[in-house]
Amino acid sequence: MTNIAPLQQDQKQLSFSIERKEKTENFHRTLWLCIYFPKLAVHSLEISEGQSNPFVVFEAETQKRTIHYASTAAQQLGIEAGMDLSQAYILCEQIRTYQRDQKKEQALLKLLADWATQFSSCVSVKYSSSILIEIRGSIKLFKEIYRLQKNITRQLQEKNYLSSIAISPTPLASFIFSKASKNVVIEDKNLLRAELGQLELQYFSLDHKSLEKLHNIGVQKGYELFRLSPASLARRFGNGFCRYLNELLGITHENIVSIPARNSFYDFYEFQKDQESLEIILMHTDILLKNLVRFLIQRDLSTRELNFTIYSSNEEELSIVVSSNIQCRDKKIWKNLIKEKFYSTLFKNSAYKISLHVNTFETHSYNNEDVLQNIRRKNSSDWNSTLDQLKARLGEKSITTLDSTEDYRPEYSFIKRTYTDKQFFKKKFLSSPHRPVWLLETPLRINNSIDNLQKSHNIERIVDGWWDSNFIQRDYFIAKSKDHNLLWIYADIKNQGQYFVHGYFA
Amino acid sequence: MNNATLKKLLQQQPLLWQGLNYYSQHKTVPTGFSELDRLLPYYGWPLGATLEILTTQCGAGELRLLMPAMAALTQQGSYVAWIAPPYTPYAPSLLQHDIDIRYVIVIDTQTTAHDQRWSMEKLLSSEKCGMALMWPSSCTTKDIRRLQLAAEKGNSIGVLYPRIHHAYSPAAMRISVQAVSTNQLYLTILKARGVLKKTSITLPIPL
Repeated sequence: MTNIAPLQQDQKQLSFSIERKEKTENFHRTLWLCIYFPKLAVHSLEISEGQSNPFVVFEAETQKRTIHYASTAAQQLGIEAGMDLSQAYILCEQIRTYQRDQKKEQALLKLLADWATQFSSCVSVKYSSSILIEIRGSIKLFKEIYRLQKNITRQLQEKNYLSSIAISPTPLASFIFSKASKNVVIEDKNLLRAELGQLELQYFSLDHKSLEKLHNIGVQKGYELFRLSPASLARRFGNGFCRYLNELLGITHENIVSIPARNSFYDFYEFQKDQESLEIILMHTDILLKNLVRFLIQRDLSTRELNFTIYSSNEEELSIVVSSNIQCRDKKIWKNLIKEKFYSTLFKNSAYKISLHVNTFETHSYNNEDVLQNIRRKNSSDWNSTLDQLKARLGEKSITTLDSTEDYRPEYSFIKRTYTDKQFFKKKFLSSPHRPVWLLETPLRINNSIDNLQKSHNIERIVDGWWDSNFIQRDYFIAKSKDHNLLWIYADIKNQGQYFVHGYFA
Repeated sequence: MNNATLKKLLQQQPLLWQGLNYYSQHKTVPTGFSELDRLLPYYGWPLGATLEILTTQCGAGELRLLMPAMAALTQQGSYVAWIAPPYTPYAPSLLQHDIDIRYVIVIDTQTTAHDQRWSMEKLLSSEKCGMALMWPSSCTTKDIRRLQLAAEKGNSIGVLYPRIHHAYSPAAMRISVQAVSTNQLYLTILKARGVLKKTSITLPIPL
């Protein structure tokens, strides 16, 4: 009887294996799935593995430069991880080299951990180049381990990430199995010892000193290590080593800290050299946007505001806020808004980094409008996205709405407001004689005689505003010019009857 | 090609010239003036088209001509956009003309001519916008064609008040407006799809 099932095993075999395991009733409380990314350094540097030229990723520690990763083409030339970079140059002069960036790796790992929260709430990045996911509770949701594995593998393949997945009752064992590319599913902790025993000690994440000591006493594989008595191991390597083995085999509990639930989104892109082209900067905002949309979908959220910061070596950082009138997580809509906003922002310097920060979210609401409603009304989201595009290009205050107020003074009887989706309209106006369609913000003084104008006999006297400093006392007329154009004019009684044009009946 | 295929092609291709039958597939908005409605093909301002109104001076009544249509559109929940108007549209006046000002938006006057045309194109192509008005200093044939396509897409009316009058224009309708008296406008329909002759009318128009 075996409780170990390789990932490639078909569903039938696996379910049989699980069924038999259930009979043993010897389960550990938790079950850890570990995804190990052997090429995380390459992914974080966005190097295409497809290139036929050999390349390596090296680690620079003080004076020593060691190869961390060698491409397939480089391996064919005899270059391998752990080798000194100078040796690689001897084997291949034209080899392309990239320096490992652990900050980028960590940032990428965090993004991947965020992605992994769709499978479980308990996700950790405790071990290097890997993600730990506690899946005992998730199995019920995904019905069986096989489906969960398949789902994870498919999504990672879609993202072009090379990964190795292992499942076991302890996080450390899962990490070791995945690092050793042993795609196993072990649910019974009593079977850990036998399976780990087959592995070389180099996968056990031991420090170099301990590993050397063990090699010196002839211990090469796991089972040889487990044969040694705990007392002897404690004496030779200290209590910490025994604790490590206990945690590995599930005898003692290993403390795993989950990544905190993110209440804001932050992502950035650093250019390899200063970038002046707005098209290229926009191309990289797409990458940030893609990550944001993924973040929002996983949490069933939407947002109305994106905050971009462009870092320039010559100037102070530039903040660009792209906002939407409606809550949105549609990549296409945001992309259009970003494009308009970025083109309208006069960015003339080069940028070395661009970041995206979002800290206000709303629960995503799905459009459940009545299908029988008028087509025009159904397109309200299209209208809002049009207005958002206009605002992004012309400025936040570019769109205004009009409203009237209860004031007889023409200049105070209306309001211009910046458009928002939650407008409050009074829709009240004082019953008054005819008003012109155009109102001049500053009345136009008539310097010449008004004899050329034909005034109507109906005079409207407006005396108002005595309670504030804008007291007016005017006699309004409708006047006709020689060309029959209609003007709204007034005689300012306070100003010796001086005539002004205040509007046009267009 | 049989009759059915030809009919289908004519229905699917709005750009095919159909003579006087042009508006048979198109909706219109009543102008609010029965005399003018009778004169216009299919009784009203055509939806999905651009309209050029030529006037020599501000205050001739060029906006009052459109007020009933604007009122009808806003009351149906369609927006009317004023793009970079030369003066401030006066809200009490719009209310006097029964326009629902909740559906009136004004685009900033500080925008460039290129931005104005871009804004109009965007607004016309949105189905929620019923009418967009613009006062361009100049508008090329290419610009008007683009606006015409946008209006067709959004089934809206694009109204242009060009400051420079060209002899020809690809706009679907061209009207010249002249004030005769305080309450009367002299209208000349220079061009309208579906009308072959130039026609004129003196229209009583309230303040």
